[in-house]
Amino acid sequence: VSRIRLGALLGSPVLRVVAVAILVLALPIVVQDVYSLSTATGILMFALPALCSWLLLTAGLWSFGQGLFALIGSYGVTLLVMRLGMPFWVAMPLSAVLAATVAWVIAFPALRASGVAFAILTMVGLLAAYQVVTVFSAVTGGAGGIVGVPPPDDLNLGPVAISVGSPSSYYYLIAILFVLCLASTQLIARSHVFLEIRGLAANPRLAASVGIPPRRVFASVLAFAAFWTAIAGAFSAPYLGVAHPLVWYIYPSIFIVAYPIIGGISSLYGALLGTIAIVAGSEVLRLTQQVEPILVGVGLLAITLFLPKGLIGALAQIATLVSRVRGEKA
Amino acid sequence: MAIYLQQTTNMLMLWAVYTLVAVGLSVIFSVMRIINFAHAQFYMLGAYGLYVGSSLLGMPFPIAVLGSAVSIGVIGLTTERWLIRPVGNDQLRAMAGTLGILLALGGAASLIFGPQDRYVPAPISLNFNVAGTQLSAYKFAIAGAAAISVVGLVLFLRGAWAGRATRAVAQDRLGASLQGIRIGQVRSLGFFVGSTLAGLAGALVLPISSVNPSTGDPVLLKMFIILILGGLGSVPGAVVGALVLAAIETLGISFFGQASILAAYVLVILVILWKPAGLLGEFHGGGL
Repeated sequence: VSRIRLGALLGSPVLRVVAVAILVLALPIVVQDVYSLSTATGILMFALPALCSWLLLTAGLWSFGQGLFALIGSYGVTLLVMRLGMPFWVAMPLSAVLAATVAWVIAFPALRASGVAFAILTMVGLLAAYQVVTVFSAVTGGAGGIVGVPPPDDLNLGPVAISVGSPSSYYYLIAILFVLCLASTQLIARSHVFLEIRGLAANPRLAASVGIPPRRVFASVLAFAAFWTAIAGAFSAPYLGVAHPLVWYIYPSIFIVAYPIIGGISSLYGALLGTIAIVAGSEVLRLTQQVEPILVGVGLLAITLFLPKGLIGALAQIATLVSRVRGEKA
Repeated sequence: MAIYLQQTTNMLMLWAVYTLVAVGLSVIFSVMRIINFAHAQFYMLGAYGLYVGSSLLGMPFPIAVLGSAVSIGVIGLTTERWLIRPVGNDQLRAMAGTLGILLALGGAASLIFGPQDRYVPAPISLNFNVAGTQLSAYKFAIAGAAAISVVGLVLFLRGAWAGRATRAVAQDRLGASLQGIRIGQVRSLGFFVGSTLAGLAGALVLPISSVNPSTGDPVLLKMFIILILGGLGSVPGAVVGALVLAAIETLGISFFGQASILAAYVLVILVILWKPAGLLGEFHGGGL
């Protein structure tokens, strides 16, 4: 009986978010060594853009240029903090809003291209961003990036003072950001906007003819994704101590698209599952430096050939199998 | 003066190489309607194939080049048959599959060949002396080989039955199948031809540069730029797009420095926004 209740409870999206939030925030109680915590921090840092990518894929938008917005986040925070002396806690949301604005503005012309052409356009956009970083090296530090990004300054909230600098404090910061991102993505996934998104992805003409404005809906989705991707980028600068164009360049941007596909596109938790599987898997299997591309590659091939519904689909199949075996025994 | 002669020669060579890669990708896109991300790695494998054939097995250079190109074609054929065809019309899974090959092949190359640069000397060390400037004859040989291949492809597409069938599938898959054309075979053929051209490009350019496991990365980006400039799935478009990019990367850099690369990206973005189908392309319906 208790199992059935648990299943019913997890059927509720709110409780699912709460359950994941508790798991994520309680992790440092169980895991305390620095290596594992930094791996978990890396997973969550990429899970944010992966969640956004899930939303984009659901909308039928292949964006291989999400690194562009992460770069706006990381360079935005770095320049605002180091050049203008702005506190990190103001600079982070500010650069995310900037990224969302950029996404909103460029979305309208960019959405003239669709399908494959849009996918290529996003990749070229990321390339152009990299060239901007290298050409305007006086501001951006060029191909070497900007080193020595300081840790976030202490945040005084009346009685509570938050100080980020230790590995566990960085973990808590990204965990809180992740939970906020997850909650807002889930909120969208439960809203009527999501139905519009899926309608537009399934049949753009039909959706448009019943009054759904395609470009405005897609632009909103792109702006939302840019916001949270930039937050991840903004986190990466003080965490890694560097704003560097390669941190969010082509391969990371491709991985961001691959994680939700590997995890399973049918649920937003697939994005989290895919990120965990690949990032943690690469840490475990660190045979060569090149292990992550191989793992992502093999993962994508496996999805293509054997697991059309991704890891989540595989887990569901295993669960059905287990319950069937149990049922037969009973 | 000397630098411009050199850069013009380099432009000719890059144009040839980019044309082979982009025309190959265009053929594949036309018959499959998906982006073959693995195309960039087929280029890299073409170079490794020449290295294995020429340096390790001691084959004569031209045979090693052809052998490498055809082997890559067979790899492409296998990809289509065993990876993309089973997926059917699921574009997401098909593109995920080619992305998977892109990443897995890059990793596999670094495991097998290691991170160091591999190199094969050019078969002809002849230099032309033009107005006191030494110009490598091998670069002209690359351009010649590419020209022969592309002209051969165009003749095949216009004249041969199988070539016309390929164009028919590119233009209207349903209509072609109603005419009794076997779509599956045409797709296999298209994938074979396209991959062979990528492998040929990688092999031909190896004596000029060198190959390592990340050789395909810049190609991945450049082939998209070319396709966008010329239009997806158009052979003349691919040739023109390749010329534009080659000119920017050689003469443009000589005149304007690194900023000309940024100008190229801005140009591409403007082209997409102004003409989403590319300068010469017909995104829907037009075939090769």
